[in-house]
Amino acid sequence: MRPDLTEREHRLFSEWLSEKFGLCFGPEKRDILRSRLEPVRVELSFDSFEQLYFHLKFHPSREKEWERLIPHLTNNESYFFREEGQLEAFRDEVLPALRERGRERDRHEIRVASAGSASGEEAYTLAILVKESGLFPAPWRVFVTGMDLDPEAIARARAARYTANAFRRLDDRTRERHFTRVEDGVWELKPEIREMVEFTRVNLVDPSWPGKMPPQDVIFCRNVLIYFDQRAMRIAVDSLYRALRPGGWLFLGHAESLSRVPTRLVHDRRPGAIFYRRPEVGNG
Amino acid sequence: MSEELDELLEALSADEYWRREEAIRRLTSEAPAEGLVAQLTAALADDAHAERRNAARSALAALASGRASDPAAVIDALAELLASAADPDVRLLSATALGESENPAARPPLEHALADEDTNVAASAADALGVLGDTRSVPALTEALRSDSFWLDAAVVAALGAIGGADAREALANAAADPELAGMVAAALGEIGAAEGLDLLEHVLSGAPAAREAVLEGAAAILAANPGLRPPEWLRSAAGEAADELLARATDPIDLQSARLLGILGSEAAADRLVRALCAPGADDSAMVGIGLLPRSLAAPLLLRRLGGAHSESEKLRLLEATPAIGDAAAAHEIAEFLGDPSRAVRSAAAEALGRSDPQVVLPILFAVARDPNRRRWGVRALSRMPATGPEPLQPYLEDPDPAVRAAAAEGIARCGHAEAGRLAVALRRETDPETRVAMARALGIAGGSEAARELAGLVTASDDSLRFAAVEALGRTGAAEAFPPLLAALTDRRPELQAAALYALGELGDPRGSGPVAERLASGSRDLRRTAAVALDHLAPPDALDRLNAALADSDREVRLTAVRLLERIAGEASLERLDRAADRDEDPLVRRAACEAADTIRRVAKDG
Repeated sequence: MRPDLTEREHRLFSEWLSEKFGLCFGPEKRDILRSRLEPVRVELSFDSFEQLYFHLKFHPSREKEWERLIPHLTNNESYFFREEGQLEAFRDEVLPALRERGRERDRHEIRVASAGSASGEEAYTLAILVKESGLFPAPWRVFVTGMDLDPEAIARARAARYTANAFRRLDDRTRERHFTRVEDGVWELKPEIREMVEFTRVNLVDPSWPGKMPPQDVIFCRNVLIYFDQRAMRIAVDSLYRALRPGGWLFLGHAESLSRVPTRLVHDRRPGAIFYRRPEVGNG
Repeated sequence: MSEELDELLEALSADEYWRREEAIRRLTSEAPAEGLVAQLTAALADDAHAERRNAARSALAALASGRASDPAAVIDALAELLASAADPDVRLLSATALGESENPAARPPLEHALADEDTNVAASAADALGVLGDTRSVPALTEALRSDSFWLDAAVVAALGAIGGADAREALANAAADPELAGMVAAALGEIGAAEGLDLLEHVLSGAPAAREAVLEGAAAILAANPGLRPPEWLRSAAGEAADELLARATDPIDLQSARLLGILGSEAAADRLVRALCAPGADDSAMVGIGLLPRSLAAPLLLRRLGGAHSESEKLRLLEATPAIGDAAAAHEIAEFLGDPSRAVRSAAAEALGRSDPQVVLPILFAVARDPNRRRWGVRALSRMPATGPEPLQPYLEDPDPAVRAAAAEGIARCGHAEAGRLAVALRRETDPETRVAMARALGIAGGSEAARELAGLVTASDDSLRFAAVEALGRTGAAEAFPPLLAALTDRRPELQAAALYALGELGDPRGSGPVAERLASGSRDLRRTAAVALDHLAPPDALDRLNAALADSDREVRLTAVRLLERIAGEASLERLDRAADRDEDPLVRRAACEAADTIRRVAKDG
């Protein structure tokens, strides 16, 4: 018989998940939290969620133990070319502006990041758009970085193999151009795009991560902040700001906004797209 | 009006949530400027500027809260306005501010205001009492239900729902006699969430069939709060009468409440809808929750049918995780095929699905699977979940070349009980793979008993930290007296993680000798250790920990205080009433205040019933 998640267990886990990962599982999500924890409880052969809590909290190699839980915590599914309005703004406005800026400053590199990259669909989408724009031929250098908390998702992203669900917004011609069919129903991304992208493990609620990478020109962080509580959102937005180069762009999910968060990012909009920019001058 | 006041009211009226929050934080962290409270109460009467009135209300609520420097003076000022302001809007705003303050001292003036001649003011007082959440308001609210105003009654019912507790439920059950209130009573019972509310909802529905929708919503909320509860037949019948509406409301993507309602409905159409939602790309767990409420005989065939055509890893995973216990061989064979899936996560989910199914059906299939080299590891894993396997069939797997198979076999043998500890101890001593040694230590905990405890005691000083940790955890599960000495020693291990694990394990072990050492840790400088000690003590429930528990009511950590309240109710009874009443009045956390209130109520009720 599967045990219940008691009120105390729910409180303990909610607090811990909020502190460690910024995730919000309020009382109305108690049954969802239970279903997320259940596979790990069973895997470790614990009789109760309380036993699981103290194990994850105190294990000497706890960060490794957390990796058992992380894949179950969020919905990692995505697909290529999701939310086209923003991608059009990226392609038609942001990329030309980056090229112009690079020429003016004699800096021939661009850096684009996908925060919460899951299985890599967004990061690879951005790489495809940059490549197809033709705006950054050699000697330009293009760096696309996918960042995620879940090591299993990163492994899948690096493998770059996808099934039909991932292509539901991608036309066949584009798929043929950039993917090779490797077996029935499975497509693998071609090396020329894969090589543009690196994946790295990042916890957006850990404020130290921006210091470990070069400033980014553009960051996409879509449908990630919706999982965060208020405290975690503030930390994550502040980190995203610091990770951006002055003048850099931040794209969030279409249902997300920063109206409840103190930030120096400036809000802007285009048809089908809302985004934010770090001010150009000084430290913002 | 002063410039400072203008700035404050402007910040409190800002669109940006964080600006308002920052203004509140400043108000509560500094002593208010002289005359500010008077200016704010005057602003409540400024009927030309609604925004400023509301901002003044927020400011007064913050200043009246327990976090502010002098809340008592502000509570008095608001109480005075509530009792005697000529303008009913001022009285209404005062009531709201008192509720927002979340200060228990606001209760008496609000209870008094339930008799205000203006129904809006009385209803606001009821709302505010709901916000305070103090169970001591239930008698006053119940009395107010005898008014002849529907709006006041509605506000009182909502407040009772927010407050909760057995007395509030009783008052709501009586209020349900009024068909006009039945729907609101159902919502209130859902908000309370107590399992007993389901029976009351049946009663509400029989007296007011028109409240069916509210009863269904309330029942869904109760089922959400009590995950082990299944929908009773009367509830499924009630949902059946609204089947068309429930199906129509479940749009794509399905939301959690709609999923629950479909689960309650329990029809084939509902099950089909839920299974489709489960497999939709990007689906969250809402459909899984709904499927968990379906009649089991309905869910399994649909899930399996879909599983047969599933291609993506995520779809297979969701379907397997949602699959209830299987009772027929054909279905078990189908799931057993997934024990060889390319995805590790799918293989694991298939093993778990089989492991929770009917052993009579599944065991023969699993024994056959265990001979298949491609599926052996996960077949043995599934076998390990079933005590009905017995130790002998699993014994050969203790020497399997695959360490994961050896680990799974150890767990399976452990589930056969104490008698197998010797066999496991031998296997563990022979084992060389570090992860498998950890799994075998864990298995000894599952097996339990003295022999297991003796073997684990020897591992508490192992050089491998993970093995030591697993041994300490497992000792707590053995239930053996021999586990106590090594756990006591581990309490002073140089590693804080081992100390914490030993503390928790002593609670699980339940040996009364552990009460003293565990209770001592309630005074630790580490919040984590104090909290672990509180939880461990909750398991031990020692009758002689009264002093420590009383002291724990003042701990800075909410969980420690909550556990202290719980334990005082259990072990000290009437002797703890004064402390609990004080916590109900003064604790800074509303959850602790509510728990203390409920604990005191329970003790008084038990004493009265003799």
